[in-house]
Amino acid sequence: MAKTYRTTRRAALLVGGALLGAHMTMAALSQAPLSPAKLVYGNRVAHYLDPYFSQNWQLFAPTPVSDNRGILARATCADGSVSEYYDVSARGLEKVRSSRFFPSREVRVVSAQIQEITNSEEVLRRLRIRQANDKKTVLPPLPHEKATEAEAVKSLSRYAYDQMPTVCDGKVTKVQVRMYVETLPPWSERNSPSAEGKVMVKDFAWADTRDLR
Amino acid sequence: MKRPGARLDHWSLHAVAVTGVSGTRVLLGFVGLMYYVSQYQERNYLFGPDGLLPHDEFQQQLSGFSFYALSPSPLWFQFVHHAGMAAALAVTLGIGGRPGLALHWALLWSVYQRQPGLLDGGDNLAYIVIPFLLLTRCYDRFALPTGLADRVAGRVPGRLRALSVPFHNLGVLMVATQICLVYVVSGLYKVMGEEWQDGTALFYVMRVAEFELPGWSHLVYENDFLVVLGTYGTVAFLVYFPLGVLVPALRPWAAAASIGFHLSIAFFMGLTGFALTMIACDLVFLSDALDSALTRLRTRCRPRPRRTTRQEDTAPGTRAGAQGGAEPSQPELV
Repeated sequence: MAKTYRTTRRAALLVGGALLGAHMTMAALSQAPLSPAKLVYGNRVAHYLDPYFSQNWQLFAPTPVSDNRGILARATCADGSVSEYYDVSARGLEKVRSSRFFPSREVRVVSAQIQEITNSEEVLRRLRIRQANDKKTVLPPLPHEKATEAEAVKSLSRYAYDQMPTVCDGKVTKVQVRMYVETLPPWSERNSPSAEGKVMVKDFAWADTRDLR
Repeated sequence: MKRPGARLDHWSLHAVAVTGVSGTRVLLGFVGLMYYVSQYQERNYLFGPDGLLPHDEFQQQLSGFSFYALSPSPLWFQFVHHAGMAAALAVTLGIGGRPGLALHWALLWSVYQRQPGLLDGGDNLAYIVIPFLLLTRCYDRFALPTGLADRVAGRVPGRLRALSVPFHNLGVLMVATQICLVYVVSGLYKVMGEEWQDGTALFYVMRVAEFELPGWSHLVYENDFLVVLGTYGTVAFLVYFPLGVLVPALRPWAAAASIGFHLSIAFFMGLTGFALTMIACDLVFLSDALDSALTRLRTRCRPRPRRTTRQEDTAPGTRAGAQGGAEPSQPELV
């Protein structure tokens, strides 16, 4: 039995192992921290892996999520009046917190887009931190970063618009999204009853509802 | 020590971790099925052509293929979505064999791309690992027998059939390496993080509304001891996982620790799909344990234990665990 098709089996094991080993090396290199090797080969590796084997295993690392992020929105009605702010994130958040068996992922509709807005590429992020530390002018958002943000804001505006069907009796002309990032009190203040988080707010441009739907 | 040639022959004749990788297939199929089921009510809004991401914008941002991109018709959308659900169910039950698994991958990839914002690391791992599973004999256990596979196998020439075991073992090795890469990378990046170094990361993560279980999470994050222990324990477990599975005696313990770790993530953080996908991949290290559990289950279910060929087939073989829970080879396939 051990001799039947022995060459075929051995060759399959060796050739297959070499190919799969090369694949796994690429996958590992794509996950390595920014390094000289990655600066040289990174693009080629990403080109090979994308899209079907692209991966990211920086799960809650290096910096764990530690703030509440979400959006509010208000609307301009057809008669020109402006509505109150509506808590758009609340519904998805309530859904995910109320179940432990495959809870709804709707909350990620908002958090994924906020991540698109707040995250930046590793090289640019490091450059900006260094510029800020050296008190130099910080590199402004690049064109592709602006495009990503515009797309994310459009998506958030559409979601917000869909979430408030009764506002202005359904006659909305424009929607504005307000993003909030609430930093929770740090560990050192965990026993202090007066500790409060800090809230950072960013208002995006008004979006015309005709562009959304 | 065996000669290299003999070692090669051993690796190309003895299929390892057949039960474990079959378990991986079942659990991945189930998580895929639940992706559809848990969002069934919202499917039109989340994935439909007139929903959150309108069809034309979806086509512009699509990378790779997606069946959902083929037509903006709502009818087509319903068809693809329900076909995806059926394929996931078939994979879970073990119907359709590897062609069914390939179809499931294509449909799952399609629905993932339809709304990428909903994805997490679990979905990422699922779409990477399923192609490796296609190499393995992951339908040898926990599968509803249809007899079709045997009939097809009978017509395949012997030289092609001889590839079955080498491919299977390589596929299992790929799943095992991939899950080790996941743990080590996520562990090493945590080592670089200030909060993980300070032992307070758990305190920060568990308070975030999206990942908090009301009434329960505060029991952990308000307890200084549990926070520090949990934070350092997480990093230590992730970084040392590959060493744990490399030593055969430690392997079941490493896998069990991982399962416990991910079950608590599922409970406290609400990441059910993520946790079960990780556990599914851990099962390749638990093949022997699964085998003995199955044998025990079978003897318990039968009043008079009979020694059937099936039973012998799944009994944990000679303690060849050093090769990754080696299975007795199946003569008809070599």
